[in-house]
Amino acid sequence: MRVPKGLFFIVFLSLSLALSSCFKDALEEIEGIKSIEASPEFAVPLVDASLSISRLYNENSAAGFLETDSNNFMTFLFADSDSLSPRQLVKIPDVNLGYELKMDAGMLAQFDALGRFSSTFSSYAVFKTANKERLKSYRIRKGSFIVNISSRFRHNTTLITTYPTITKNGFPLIDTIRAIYNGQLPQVVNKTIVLDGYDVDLSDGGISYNVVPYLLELDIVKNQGQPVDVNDLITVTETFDIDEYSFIKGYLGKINIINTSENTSLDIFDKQIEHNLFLNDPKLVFRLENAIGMPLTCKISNLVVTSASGQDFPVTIDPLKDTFTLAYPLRIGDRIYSEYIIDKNNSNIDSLISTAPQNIKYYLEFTANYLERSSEDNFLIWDNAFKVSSEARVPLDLKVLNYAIKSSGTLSPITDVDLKPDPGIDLNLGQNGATLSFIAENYLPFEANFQIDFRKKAVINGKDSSISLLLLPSKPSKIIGSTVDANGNIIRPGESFNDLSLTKEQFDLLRQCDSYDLITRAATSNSNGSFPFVKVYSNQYLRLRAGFKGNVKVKSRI
Amino acid sequence: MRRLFFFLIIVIITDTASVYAQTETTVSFLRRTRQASMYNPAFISPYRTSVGMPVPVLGNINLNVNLRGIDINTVLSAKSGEVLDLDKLSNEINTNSFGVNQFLGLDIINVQLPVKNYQVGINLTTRVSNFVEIDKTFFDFIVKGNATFIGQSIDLRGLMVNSLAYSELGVSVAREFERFSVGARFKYLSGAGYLSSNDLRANYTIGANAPFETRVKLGGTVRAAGLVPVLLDTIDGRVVNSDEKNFNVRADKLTDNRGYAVDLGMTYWINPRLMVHGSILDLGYINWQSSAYQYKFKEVDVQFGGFSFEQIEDADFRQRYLDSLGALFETAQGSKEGFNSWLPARFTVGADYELTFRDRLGVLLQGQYAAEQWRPAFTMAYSRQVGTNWDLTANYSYFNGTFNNLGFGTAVKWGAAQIYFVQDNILFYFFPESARNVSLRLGVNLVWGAPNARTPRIH
Repeated sequence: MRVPKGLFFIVFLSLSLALSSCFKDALEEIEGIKSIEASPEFAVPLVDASLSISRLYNENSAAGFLETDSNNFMTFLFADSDSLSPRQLVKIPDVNLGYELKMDAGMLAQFDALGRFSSTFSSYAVFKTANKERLKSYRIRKGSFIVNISSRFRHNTTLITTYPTITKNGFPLIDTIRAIYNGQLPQVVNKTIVLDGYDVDLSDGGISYNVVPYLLELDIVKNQGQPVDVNDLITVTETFDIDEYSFIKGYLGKINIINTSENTSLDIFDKQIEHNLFLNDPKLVFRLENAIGMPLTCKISNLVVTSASGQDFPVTIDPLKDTFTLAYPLRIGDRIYSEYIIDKNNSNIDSLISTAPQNIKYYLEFTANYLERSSEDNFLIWDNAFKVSSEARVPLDLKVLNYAIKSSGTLSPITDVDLKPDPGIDLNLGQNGATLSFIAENYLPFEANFQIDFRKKAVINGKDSSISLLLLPSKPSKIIGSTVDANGNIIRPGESFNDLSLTKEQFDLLRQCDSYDLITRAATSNSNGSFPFVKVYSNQYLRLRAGFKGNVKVKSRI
Repeated sequence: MRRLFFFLIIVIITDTASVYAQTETTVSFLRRTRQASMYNPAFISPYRTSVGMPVPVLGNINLNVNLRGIDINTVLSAKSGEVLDLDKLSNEINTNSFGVNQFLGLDIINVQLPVKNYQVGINLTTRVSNFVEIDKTFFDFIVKGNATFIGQSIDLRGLMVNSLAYSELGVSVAREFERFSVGARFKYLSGAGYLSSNDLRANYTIGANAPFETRVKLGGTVRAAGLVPVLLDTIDGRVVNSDEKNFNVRADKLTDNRGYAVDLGMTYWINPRLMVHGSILDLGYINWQSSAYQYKFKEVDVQFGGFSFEQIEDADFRQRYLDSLGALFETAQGSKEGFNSWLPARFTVGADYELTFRDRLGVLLQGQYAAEQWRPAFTMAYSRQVGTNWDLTANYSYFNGTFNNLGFGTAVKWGAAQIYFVQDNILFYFFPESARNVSLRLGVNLVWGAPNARTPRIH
């Protein structure tokens, strides 16, 4: 068979024409695609976290801390402290002593005959205290002994002063001063002796107080050829100038040790907007660290709690119990720790703290020798070592019928720019919207519900304000509390599932918001309708898991 | 990874081959061409001597392009105005992967000679193939979002790539017995380039309910050799130079990639009208040693159920966590390490029924295992011998997941020149928008020796 020569050419040509025509149309259709779009739906795990009371507390309080005892039971503590700065609570008065010597005719004759004259004088230096102190001894931390001699005798004079009860390392204070005549009158000699570290016994052998015995010995040696007459005079003055003691003993008088005004912030209640709660046995505890060897009395006054509105409510303390004495050390160097408690046994503090106050205010006045029993010896040391601390203790043994808090925050408005990660890409919430799902496994004896109020800034009546645009969820979502028995003990955890859905329209509203208020209402778990007191332990927690599922619409230029 | 992606794009655009898609439905029915024996070495051309046109390349060219799971119509059906709706597009794709498979074969030498009772052949052929497909699950994951798979554990193979270029020196022997013929082709292979992501694994599991806990497992190896540039900045801790990172043909990249393969075939005449035949093709491997690299990804198993409060509150803490997660997925280590790659073996099974001296009906089932699934092709063909020198064949095939494949082939002998032309899907010329297969084979053989009486057997 003869094959037409142009067969293959015709076949190829026909096919090529058909191809080019059909293919061209198809390609033009393809080229007409300018953008692509898709509506993917994403599901993303967001949160898997355990929330303990400790964490909740740390999130909401800067003023206090949580104490956990050996049974894991927790107590809120709000503490304040004050201490006494080193100061001299007792002022040791200056002591000035004076002595004068003149010679009568007989003494002059004897002086001329013998060529010298000697005189001895003993007495007591008396410390005249201002606050009924009966000082028996002290050690000088900073002080001096000043001796002045003024003599008009034209002869040489020696003065020896002895204080047998002023000692250092067992040696008494003995001082010798010489005035040597040099042709000028009066002869004047001044001398200062540093007394730091000297022990001073003012008890005169244990039978007295505020006195120091001393002995003066004066010896005048004649300068031959120099005259002497009845008008020649020697004047001696001595001064004890004691600035600070290291310690001091004796009856030290009635002293106001410290007055302190405390204002303890209970900031866990800061954000509450409603409350109906009962706290079992809250306390106000005062603790004292005391190295002052004096009977101490503390008086509490003006104890009030301040409500969120700023109103003060006085705490009524049993009148006999607003003043109390504290133990004190009997030996220098000892420290005594003591405490005093204001609680429901001696006040109505439990009912007042159950009002969820913002602050507790009170005034403390510490007085030593309040009863002024001068027969009792006291001691003080120079640095006092006196510290008073107080703490409001709010044990998490409570019953909450309703406790609502509001937390506010700001939002960065989700602008169009945020939704366009690239100029050629549009990103929007799809028609199916988005859902935020919460799964709570609650081992805490609390239930809670929450709602978020998304708001937008607005000017209302000329004032900056905000308006609510979106309340999510429309009905509060509830986290079920653990089941408790009649004694408040947890039987089983509560499990709850909440979906927070967001439609495209709601999302558009959300994009306009710039702030939010999260309103949370909590209550303690109930037992068949009754609300027992429940105790909160550190090993109880809320496991919160959250996931997001959302449909987005993406359009991108190609 | 960007270099890898870029390279893949270049390969897709410039090459025309597919490792797994060189299935042809028509040429094996042109029994009087030497090329039919490439599908069954037991097919013996009636011309005793056949020489591919002694002009390089013109002897035989074979171009094969298959779109899998997608065609122009698929795209246009998801088009609305100027917008392409990827959700619709995803719904239109009903195969478990889609992409393009390409193959180019060139015969440099193709000679067949009779030696005593044997028909002996020699061929030197270059083959370049690419298989680039996107896992449909992965595509849905991106387009429809992971929420589509809530409560499921899915394997994401992502972008599946397998590129292979090699030369084949084949020696074939066939012999016909009374009713039976057998043939074999022994092939020495010289690899030019190889790239495969087949060993990459990704598994994604997402919980059925909120908070949608997620687990991701990743791992595997990308293997490359020969002309494929180095894909990472370091190999075995050594910083690679720019020459190694660029595509260029160098002799040292082509040596030492040796392989061996065999094709086996048989035919059997059940009666004078009915013949059955079968073959196994490309049973062999290439051992890649020149510029052979393996890129091993760290075995990653990450579970995520949400951020803890510490991570929510502390941006630095959260970022460090996210960075550490990211580092897990980025880590790949390259090493210079040879490997073996198997050729994509195929099988054919068929039957011919001689209606008349000139007319023959045939069926052919082909199969190939690719991308972890069998990819069958089934063909029904009618062939006619017109006069003594002209063969015509037409067929209808189910192939590549499509039913609209109408094949046509012809071979004409002018003197010693046998010109043949084969198109597996001529509908492509008329309905290109719905065509997924384009296969073209043409060439010229010089043949001598009168057709013997073996075909057909009925008289």
